Amino acid sequence: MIKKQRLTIRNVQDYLTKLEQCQIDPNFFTSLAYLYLSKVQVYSFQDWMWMEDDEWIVLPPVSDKVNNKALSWNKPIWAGFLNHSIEGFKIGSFLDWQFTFDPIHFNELGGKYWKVYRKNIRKYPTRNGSWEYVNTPLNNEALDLVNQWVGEKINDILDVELLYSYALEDHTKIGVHKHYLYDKSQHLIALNIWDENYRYINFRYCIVRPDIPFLDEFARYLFYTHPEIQQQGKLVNDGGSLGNVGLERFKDKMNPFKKQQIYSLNPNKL
Amino acid sequence: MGGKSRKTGGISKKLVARLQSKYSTNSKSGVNDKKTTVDNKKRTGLFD
Repeated sequence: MIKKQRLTIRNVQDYLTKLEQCQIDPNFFTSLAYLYLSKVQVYSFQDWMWMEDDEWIVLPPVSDKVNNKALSWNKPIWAGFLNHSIEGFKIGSFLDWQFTFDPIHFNELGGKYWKVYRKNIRKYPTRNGSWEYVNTPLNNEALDLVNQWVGEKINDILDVELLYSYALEDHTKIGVHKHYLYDKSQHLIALNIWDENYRYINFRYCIVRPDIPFLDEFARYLFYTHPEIQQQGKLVNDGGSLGNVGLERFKDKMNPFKKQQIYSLNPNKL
Repeated sequence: MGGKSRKTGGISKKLVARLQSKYSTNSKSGVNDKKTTVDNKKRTGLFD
């Protein structure tokens, strides 16, 4: 019998542990913080575990028993995994790109492929002088920054409640990390937010003052070259482009280590 | 940025206004970011 379970950190962690045991390559939405803050509904049946959100199964169901019989599924899976097919489902519609970057590549930025990005990351500091990039907020300007960014990108941002929660609440216990960029007058101008799974660092948000040219490039450069990111030895999953061609081109110019397609999955019987 | 949503129809200005109000109240009451203790040195280097 299918059991609906309480959404707890432990339940979400159990699901992630099963994925790791099955050596599944996790996608951008595979993190304790993302699943927990998305308020998904957790279900289990024998050794199967999965999470739902309204009409979707959020990520593919997983069982760590090799011979476990598949259930009969009647909902689509929102975001599939790259190296994993699941009995009872077929490939559905394209969901988004998935850009993966190697932080080590940002140390040198040598050669012609990095020419545009190398040039662009120098523009903010050259034009604006000193700056400070820290992991502790110096003041209480995060809400103003998020409001400005949301106001500018209201047609591009999805899941705005999740964004406010990640940016303005303290979720360090479930693995959310933040770095803050201040200008020479100590005003907050950018906020980098990430979480992790067993294989990747997920670069969740790069929130910048929308009126400052080339700040986005600079803030991302600071993220990728910070020792906290560099020293982990993990690749960074930078998410997709949300159907935004400009964002796709922007990430292409950063020379991704991999650019892959993520698909939704449909149950065979639908 | 932030990843695709499972919900369709975009975000409403009313929802944004509600969130801004909610976090504005939280901020005033000190619920905002908790300070951490890791090093907080200014990063320089390429741009000195």
